[in-house]
Amino acid sequence: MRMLKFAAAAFLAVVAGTAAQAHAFLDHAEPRVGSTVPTAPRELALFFTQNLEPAFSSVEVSDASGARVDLGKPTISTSTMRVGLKALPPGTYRVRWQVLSVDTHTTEGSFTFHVKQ
Amino acid sequence: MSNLLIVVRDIHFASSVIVAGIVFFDWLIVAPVLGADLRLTATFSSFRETTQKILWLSLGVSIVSALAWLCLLSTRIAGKPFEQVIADGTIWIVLSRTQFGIAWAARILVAGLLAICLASRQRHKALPADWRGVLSALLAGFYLGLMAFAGHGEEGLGYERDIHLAADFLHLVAAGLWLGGLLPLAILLTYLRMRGEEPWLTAACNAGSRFSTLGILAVSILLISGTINASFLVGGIQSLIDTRYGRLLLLKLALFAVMVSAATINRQYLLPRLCKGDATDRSDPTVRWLVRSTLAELALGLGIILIVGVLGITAPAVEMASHVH
Repeated sequence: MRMLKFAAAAFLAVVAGTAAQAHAFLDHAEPRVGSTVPTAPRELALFFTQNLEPAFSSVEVSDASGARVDLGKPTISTSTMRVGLKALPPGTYRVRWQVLSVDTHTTEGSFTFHVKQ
Repeated sequence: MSNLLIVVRDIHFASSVIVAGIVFFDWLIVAPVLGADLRLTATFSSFRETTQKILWLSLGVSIVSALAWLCLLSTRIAGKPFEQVIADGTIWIVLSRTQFGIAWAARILVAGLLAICLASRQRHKALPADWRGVLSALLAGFYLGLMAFAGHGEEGLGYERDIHLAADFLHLVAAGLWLGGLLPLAILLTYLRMRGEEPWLTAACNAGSRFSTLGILAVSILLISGTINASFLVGGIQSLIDTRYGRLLLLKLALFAVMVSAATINRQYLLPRLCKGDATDRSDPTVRWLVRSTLAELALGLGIILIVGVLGITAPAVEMASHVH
């Protein structure tokens, strides 16, 4: 019983001071989510909270008219996904990503960034 | 689909834990208690016959449910019906190009090696202490522990992921050691009492005491590894109450606490009674109480497995929105 009480106290102490990491969520992106960049980026990089499964992870970047402006298949290394971009004129661009984390859960999301006029 | 996946996961966890539990029990309890004592031949023979049937059945169920898990997960990942996942080769991509698939392929290979090892033991009528017993225990441990690569054990990055995986691996093996060993313990105690071969009481005392000591080791590993896992998957005390994952985890912990309490009663009251020789003949109810208490622990353990099946497909206690920057 003493062991159980000690274990319960240790459990609560550890749990109280932690930040959970669930599945693969977007930690940050380059260009940043919602940011305005002064020059057109040549590449989009997405950084996730967990390692990804390349076979089931993808990203699309499109302009205001919905036309694809990315260069196709992204490269994925552990928790980072990168995709090349065409020469982007000033405007707003939407990024849509869908990834499968190594714990077999699918997550998806989208955001925009702007290239300065 | 999710409900079916939960059922398949539960069946797979339960059958895999029983496989590992029987093999571990054979090596760590039966070998030293019964293996060398020729006076307990009938007991050993009955125990072996019953547990081997359960072992083979559980191994078969475990392999079939592993394949069902792979199929269901492939359909979920691809978002396609089962026939299409098979026809367009998605299932092979999952098996060969994801960590889950590679771990699953390794587990099925280990299950095959375990089956060969067990069959070889049966053919040679080997004693539990035979090298095949040790090899079987190692294979069963890997078969169970490698499941860590198929779920939330993969959470985190870098060294944190490695720590989480190691903790999850040990958590699973410790569950097999304790929870999986309860069924063969109940069977062994029942046969010892039923056959009444001398010295059945000494053997029952030895088996109970050894399992109890093993239980303390397993519970310690479960507590430490469980706390490490929780540190990755629970986002604070409030999340234990506010989220589905947290509430399920609390329920699991409550069942675990009741299991440990039952084991403590066995260790503090029933085992000393048995080992002091208070239970002098087969009509004494001590062994029956011990068997009932062990089966009650097993029922609670199966409740925990049901919860684990749901926890694995439930998002840990954190909101998706909080991660969008």
